[in-house]
Amino acid sequence: VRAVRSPWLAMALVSLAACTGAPAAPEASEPPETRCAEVMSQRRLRRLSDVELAHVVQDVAGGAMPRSSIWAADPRVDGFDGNADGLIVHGPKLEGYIDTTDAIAANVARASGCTSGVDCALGFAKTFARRAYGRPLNDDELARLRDVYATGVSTEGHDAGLRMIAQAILLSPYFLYRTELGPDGVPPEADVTLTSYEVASQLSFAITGSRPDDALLLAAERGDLVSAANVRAEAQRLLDTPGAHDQVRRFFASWLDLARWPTIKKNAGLFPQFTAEVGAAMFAQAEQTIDDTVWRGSGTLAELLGTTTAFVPPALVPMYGDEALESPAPGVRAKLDPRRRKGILTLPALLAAHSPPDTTSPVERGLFVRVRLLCQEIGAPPLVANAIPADALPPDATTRQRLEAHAKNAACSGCHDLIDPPGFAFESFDAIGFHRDTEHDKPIDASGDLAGADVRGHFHDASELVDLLLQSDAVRACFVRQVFRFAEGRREQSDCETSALHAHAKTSGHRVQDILVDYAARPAFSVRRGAR
Amino acid sequence: MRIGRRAWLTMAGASALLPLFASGGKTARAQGAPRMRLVLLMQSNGTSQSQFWPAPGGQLTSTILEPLVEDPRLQARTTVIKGLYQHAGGAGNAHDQGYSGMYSGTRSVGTFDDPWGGGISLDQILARELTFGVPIPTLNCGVLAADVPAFKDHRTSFSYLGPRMQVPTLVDPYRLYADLFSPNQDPALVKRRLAQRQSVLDYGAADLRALRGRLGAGERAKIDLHQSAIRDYEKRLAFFAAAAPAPGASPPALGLDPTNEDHVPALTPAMIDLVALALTNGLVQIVTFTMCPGGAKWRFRWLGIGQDTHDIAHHDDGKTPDVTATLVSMNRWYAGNVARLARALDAVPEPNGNGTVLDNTLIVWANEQATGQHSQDDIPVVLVGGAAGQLAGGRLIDRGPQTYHRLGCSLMGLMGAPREGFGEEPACGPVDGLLAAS
Repeated sequence: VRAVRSPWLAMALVSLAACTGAPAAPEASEPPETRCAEVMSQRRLRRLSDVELAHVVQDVAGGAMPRSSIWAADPRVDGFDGNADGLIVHGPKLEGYIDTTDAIAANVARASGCTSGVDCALGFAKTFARRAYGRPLNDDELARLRDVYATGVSTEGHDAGLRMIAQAILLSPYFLYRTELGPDGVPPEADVTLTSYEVASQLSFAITGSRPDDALLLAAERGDLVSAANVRAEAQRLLDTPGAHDQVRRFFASWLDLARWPTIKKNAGLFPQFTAEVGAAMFAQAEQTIDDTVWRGSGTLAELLGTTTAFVPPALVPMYGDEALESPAPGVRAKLDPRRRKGILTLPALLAAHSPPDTTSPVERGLFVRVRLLCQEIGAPPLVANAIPADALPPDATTRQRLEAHAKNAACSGCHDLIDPPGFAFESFDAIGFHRDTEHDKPIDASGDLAGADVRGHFHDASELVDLLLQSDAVRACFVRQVFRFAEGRREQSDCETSALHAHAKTSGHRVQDILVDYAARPAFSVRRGAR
Repeated sequence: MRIGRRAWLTMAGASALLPLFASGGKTARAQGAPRMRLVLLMQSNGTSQSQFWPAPGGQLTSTILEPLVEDPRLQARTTVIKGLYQHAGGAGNAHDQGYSGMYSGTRSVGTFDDPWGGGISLDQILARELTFGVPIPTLNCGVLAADVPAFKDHRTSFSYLGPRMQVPTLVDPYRLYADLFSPNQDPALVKRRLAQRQSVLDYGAADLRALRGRLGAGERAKIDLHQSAIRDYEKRLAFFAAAAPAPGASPPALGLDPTNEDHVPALTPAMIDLVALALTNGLVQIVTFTMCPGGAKWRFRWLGIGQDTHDIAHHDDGKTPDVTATLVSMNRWYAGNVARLARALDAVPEPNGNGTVLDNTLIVWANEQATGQHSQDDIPVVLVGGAAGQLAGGRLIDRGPQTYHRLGCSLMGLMGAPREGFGEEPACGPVDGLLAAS
């Protein structure tokens, strides 16, 4: 593999909308660290995603969130379900909340042990709201909850009143959203520093996907979180909780398109091997291998992309065949033939997730490399593109042969010269991730040229493409952006917003845990720009 | 169709009980004067251009339209519009641009991989502009059961409150049944529970008002949506509290799976019948109904097709008989379902001899694109219904190429909220030739 590197293309070459195939001129000659002014996020409300809501319910109500059949799923933007613009409360969502909180409120009220009296009810309100909102109730809220309780008592008695207090809290926007607004009474136009409780919630949601625990609430109460060093220490502490491991798992599943795994279906006639058991084993293998690399291995992006070992659960042993260089044992990562598979990109789950049910799609796999690994944007095909009739090919033509039409037509080749080759690299794996040497009895050609990136070069197969990607600073910078988008619930406003994180991540080898901690400890974490 | 037939029959049997819920028996239930109802249907993957359009000057029929217009009553209320094009582009490809753009007049936003609707859709604009006498002004439902999940996330709903703010699609017929016809219990208990719910909702509403004052204009939009969701919910509570007790019919246990593609032939008529019941019972005014996911990869096994019809449609060069035959078969199926809805509305007379519900309704059957090969010229659009006397019917309108934004503009006018244009074409005017006067 011979790679050509162009350092400043890493950050500058983001949009390939024109897909000219020629590398764009760098935007700026200085590194972003020197040209970027401090970028502030806007004051905003961020509705909890369904997953976050379920975590908070688990934490404050001590049980799984009841399923509501009208639950409207959150939209995924860039793979992530926490996008602040996409998370709104519309009619169906509100009804889902009402449905669900009916049951939670009844349970919480019953479990409170408060059997009579307004004082006891308001005591319950204080305790419950502190965890549910991640801050104490103020006097006005307490007075209004007293009214809610009174309505309950007057209609159906104390139990109803207590249940209504719980439900009022669960349907309040202070429960359903997290605020990034700063102290009360500041005009909307003003820049603000977040309150210590808000900082605690941002931190806790970023690292654990839930509201603050008691220790973090105490730190907020003491005013400890004004110091970046203390925020960093709290972030480090939270990394050791199960919630953080779950959060990191969700990051990878979203980034790698595995979050929708249970809905992935394959043509059973063509792929009888893809049973429910094998499908579940593939997902578990991906999750376990990533988990193990992150928490027990080095955790570096290089190891994730380049590892030559993986857990091979029993259900997948036949599939791996002679690829495993030693016989797989439970709980141990088996050494794999590095010329065949290298790193997470060659995990069967990823290969299957980026394939339609019947066949491979080098376009889908190639787009994944461009969009999720290199953070490039590929423009839409021109309207005429799809009106171009497909070549008359024999039924046993290979997938690659079918896509060769792209190269023949200028309307297609501009983009597909960039998209298809990294997809071809994975042609040695079929639509369920099995290794193959032939398709329709014709030898697989997985070679190609990586163009339009900071690292360019020829590869013979997926393993060599991975080697090229491992040398790319754009891939590392993109990884930081993905972590940022996941935690922040929006895209970066420019590369400035993530350049310092990227620079710092170089020292640790781009470990996701470190990026999350740095994300929380950066100055912009606790300040917000006013509306203008 | 394995489970389909039996399940559907059970559902149909149960549905027959539903009109009893309306106080007047088999007459449309109206709150005040009958007001025009609107149903926006969306189909994906285009049509067979050679088999869809009626011959100019001839009978209003074609191979594909036959299941709809073979009934003379429906043919007399059908208007086919030829010539609409969508050239605005947007994020994603023609599937995405058309699916989210047809009824919003805005280009899709986001990336090729991850496009979303770029603006508020017609149903939600009308929900803001009109006042309603029904408990559920807008309903977004449809059929999304699919072996292959929608290729892009947005392809599940074309109803939008704003850019990227997608209203999810209700796909579960049992839930829809329960939402529309929730059997009331003891009136005294209902009253007490209402007071409790109101108190709880009031508490959150006060928090929302306080929060709103702390936000800039952009973020306020989130609060506004949340507040209007609460108001709509409260209106429904009040309506159902005041309504006559239902006969105690509860949704039958059937086994229809709203995610199973093989159940589509039972899910579609079930959802269509529930929509018809909701409209004729005066529960709903405006319906958005996605007949399938955008760019649907349905195999149409129930028609004996068994292959990815999105991909088949892609090979429609108009010259391949096998492809054309497949497209005809699936498009006739869609036409048949449109006919089912129209017939159900036509079967219920309005109060005071004011025609049938179909006479005061407009069903719009549109498609995300014109052909499976992503052409956006001559998008197939069919209007069914009298639109409260505003449409003559029985006509093919072909005044040459017109931008598809004009459809939205015309619909706004027909619904009593006239505009100069629609979406990103604020001055495009209505569809040329649609109204008798034009």
